[in-house]
Amino acid sequence: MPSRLPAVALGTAAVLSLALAGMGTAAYWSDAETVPGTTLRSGSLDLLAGTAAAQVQDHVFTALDATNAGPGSVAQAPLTLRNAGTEDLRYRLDGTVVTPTASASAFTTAATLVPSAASCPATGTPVGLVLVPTAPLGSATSAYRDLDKGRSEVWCLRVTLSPFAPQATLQSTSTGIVFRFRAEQR
Amino acid sequence: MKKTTKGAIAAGAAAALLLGGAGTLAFWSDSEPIDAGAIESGNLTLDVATGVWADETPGTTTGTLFDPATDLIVPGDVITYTTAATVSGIGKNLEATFSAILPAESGTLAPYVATALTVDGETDGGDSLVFDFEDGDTQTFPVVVTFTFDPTTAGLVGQDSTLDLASFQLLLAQTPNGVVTP
Repeated sequence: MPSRLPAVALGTAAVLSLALAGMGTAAYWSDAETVPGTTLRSGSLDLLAGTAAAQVQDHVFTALDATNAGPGSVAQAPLTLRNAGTEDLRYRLDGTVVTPTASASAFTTAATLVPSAASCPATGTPVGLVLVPTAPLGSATSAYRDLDKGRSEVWCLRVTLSPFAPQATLQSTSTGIVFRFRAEQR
Repeated sequence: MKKTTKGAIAAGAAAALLLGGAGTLAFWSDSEPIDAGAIESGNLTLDVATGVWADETPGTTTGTLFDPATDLIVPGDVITYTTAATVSGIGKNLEATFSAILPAESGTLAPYVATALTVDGETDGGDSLVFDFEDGDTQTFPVVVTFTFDPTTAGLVGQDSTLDLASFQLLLAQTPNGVVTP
């Protein structure tokens, strides 16, 4: 039926115009600009402890070990603390953990800032800034100290078994001491 | 009637018909050119300046300069990226709306860093910025992306991590003025 062709063509045109109108505001002007992406990186806070040669997160402080200690015995050894993070920090001796707990009262401790490990002999009073005056081991803390990134300091730690240590409870026993340092961002 | 007379009448009629066939050539007429002038379209543009980084951490003692290539962030830091958007346009019926949508942040640091977009002091991504360019206008306003490292991030959480923010688009789009869109 050739006579219907014009009607079909008209219908197609009407559908096309409706479809174009349906595109709405896409036909209007617009301008877009791109802001480049970015990457931010975080730093790190890392206080390490150890010998002058090597420092780690959880240092086993064997230099302070003492065997056959009796009343009045003194153990003294240097401890190097280093800021291995990317940020400046402040830190302090935050406390001690003594095992068994009951033994803590028989010990005192003291800490002095010394220029180097060599300045902290096994015996004798070290020369330097007193960080922790002689205090009961269980309550020893220091003030916060600033330690810039990449820097290190040497503490001379001393532990003394009281001359009046009770023989009944401490004789032939072993006491474990953990010095806990805390570092904070500043 | 003589044959010659008939012939003359026929010739006259033929001549009259011929003349009539020449149409209105013989009548008065006048014509004037109409100069409609030119119709010019307006314009609509958006430009963005190169951004600037800044350390806006409250109470910082290390200065406000920040270089994401070398500087590392820590909890409590507030870092901003500021750029200036300039919109310009002219057109009798030209109105346009500005918009920007910040993409989601990714990377291991993403959970600890809040990202916010402020356009001309507004936090709606600029959707509220509608410009009327009827008389022609150019305006510049700040687009600021703020990164805040959650200060409650404790312990060693979020260290040595990265935050990636993809590029994002600023858009200035004409909005119909008096035109009803279906």
